[in-house]
Amino acid sequence: MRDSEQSNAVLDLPHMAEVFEALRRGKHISMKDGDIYIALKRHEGAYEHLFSELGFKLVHHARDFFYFLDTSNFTELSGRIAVFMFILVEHLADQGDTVEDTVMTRRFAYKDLPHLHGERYQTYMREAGVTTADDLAAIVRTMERFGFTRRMDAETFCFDVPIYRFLDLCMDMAAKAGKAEAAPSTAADAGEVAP
Amino acid sequence: MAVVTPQTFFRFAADHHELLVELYQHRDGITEATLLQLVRRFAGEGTPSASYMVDRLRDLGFIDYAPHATAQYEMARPFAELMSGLLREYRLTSVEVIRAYFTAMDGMATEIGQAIADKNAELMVRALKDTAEHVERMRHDSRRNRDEVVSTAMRVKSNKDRMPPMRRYEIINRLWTRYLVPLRDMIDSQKAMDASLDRMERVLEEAEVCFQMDGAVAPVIGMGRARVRRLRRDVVLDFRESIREIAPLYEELRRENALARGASHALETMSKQGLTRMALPRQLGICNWQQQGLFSDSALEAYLLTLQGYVPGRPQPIPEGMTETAREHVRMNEFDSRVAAALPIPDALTWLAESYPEAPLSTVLRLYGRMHSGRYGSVGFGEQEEEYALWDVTLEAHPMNLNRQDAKGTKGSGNEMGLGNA
Repeated sequence: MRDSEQSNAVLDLPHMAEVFEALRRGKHISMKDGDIYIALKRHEGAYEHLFSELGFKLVHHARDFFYFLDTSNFTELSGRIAVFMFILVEHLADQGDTVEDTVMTRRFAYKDLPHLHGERYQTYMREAGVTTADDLAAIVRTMERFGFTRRMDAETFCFDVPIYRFLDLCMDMAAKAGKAEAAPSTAADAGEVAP
Repeated sequence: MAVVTPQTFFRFAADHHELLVELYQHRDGITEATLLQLVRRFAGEGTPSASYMVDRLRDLGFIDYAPHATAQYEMARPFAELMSGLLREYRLTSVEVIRAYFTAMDGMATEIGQAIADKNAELMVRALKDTAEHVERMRHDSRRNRDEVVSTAMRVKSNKDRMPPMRRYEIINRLWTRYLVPLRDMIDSQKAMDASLDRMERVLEEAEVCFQMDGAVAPVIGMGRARVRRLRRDVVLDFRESIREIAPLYEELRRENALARGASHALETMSKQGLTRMALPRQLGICNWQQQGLFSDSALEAYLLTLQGYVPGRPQPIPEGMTETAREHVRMNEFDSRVAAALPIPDALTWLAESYPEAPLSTVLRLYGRMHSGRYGSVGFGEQEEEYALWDVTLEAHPMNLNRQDAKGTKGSGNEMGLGNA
């Protein structure tokens, strides 16, 4: 009786089909997605249970967005997006901008993107299969499909909260670099002290 | 050298404050030629000659000769300090100096203790005077440090120079590790400051009791105790304020720096290893689950519609068996008997061609293989390779002979075979 009640509760979850369809396509659902975000947020436990039974891992990121983490059926396009973001972060830092604030608040124009300017960045982008401005725009469109960006007009776009997944990746990379550097010495030698 | 009074000093400073501010930018050293140029730049109507002005600057104690070179000046230390205070450009008093202050304070406490023991009012007043000056200098340095920390934090926050995160982080990290952390250790963890100030307060308390009847000394002692209490309160306040200003900025810049460093490290790794080896898609695990082996509702519906009213046609007739197929079939037990009866066979391929002329090449080769298996007796090969034009192909092979296995196990000669189409 209890099981059947639970099953019925799971089947009655609001926007179930839309939520699943979005998540299985790699979409990151955040507040801007409206109803499906609210449905996930309100019934997080039930959704998590349901998806877990189906073999999917629903993640609720600390920045308040949801996605499926799937290390078996994953898209290779994320590698390209990662390269796109690495270049953007490095470029913003070199410009003296506050990276996190700028990424989250600035409206970016395609023509101002640094990715195809300069030989070094061009080489990285070539490795990611991007050689033209159209390819670059295609990456941004792909990012929009996954919920990382939002198109503002034909020339500009801005980032949405789920882009934190790639900022997190940068932090992971920094930790790896730190470990590699710290191998012969210790953190204290590097002059860093936790507050 | 002219007599310098405060009036002449400050009047000159007021008349030439722009020049002095500019000069402060060169406080660590300026050549005579540059100084003359500077003076001329700020000269107004009725200003004396540049060389006179340089002499005047030196006489009034604004500048002094640099010790390391001729025709070179530097800003006199007292005036440089005054300017840094006025312009709020402070240099941090290092923690080592602050520590030395406390050590000196211990020495003064000992001196006051000596004055108590000797009931020496004169020594007491002198020691208290020194202590008061020392305490005020410490308080002043503590406040200047706080101002420097706050102004550095503001400068780094506003980032008008567009410094990259790493540079900004270095500035704040230096402030944090070189100044705030040792100060925190001194104030919070090891309590060295409290120990020193407690000692001083205790000895002043004793002095108060000892000299309570001395109307000239008692008020000085009371003032000394008040100064020590104020120092303790202000140093802690300055320290807390500095921490409040720097800690969030330190955290923010540490994260900013890590972001930039991580991105650069990733790009560097990519250029060395290639993107594929970094396995970023697996790490990110962005789902791309495809429905496989499932019909969509519309496809299934369309299929069912085609099945509606389906009338099956007549089945295809089963083809009759062909004579050739029957001939192709060779029963193995019959074949074994024929081979056994025909032994010895000097050339297996020739025998097969004669015995099974209508069998296809594939069957003949299988039979040839069976003959080679050794089940009928010993197998040998001729030394000379021969060509066989059989079954519409040309085969090249060393003739394979089969002999009955006798008691001695006689075998044919040869040990290799070539077989192929020409």
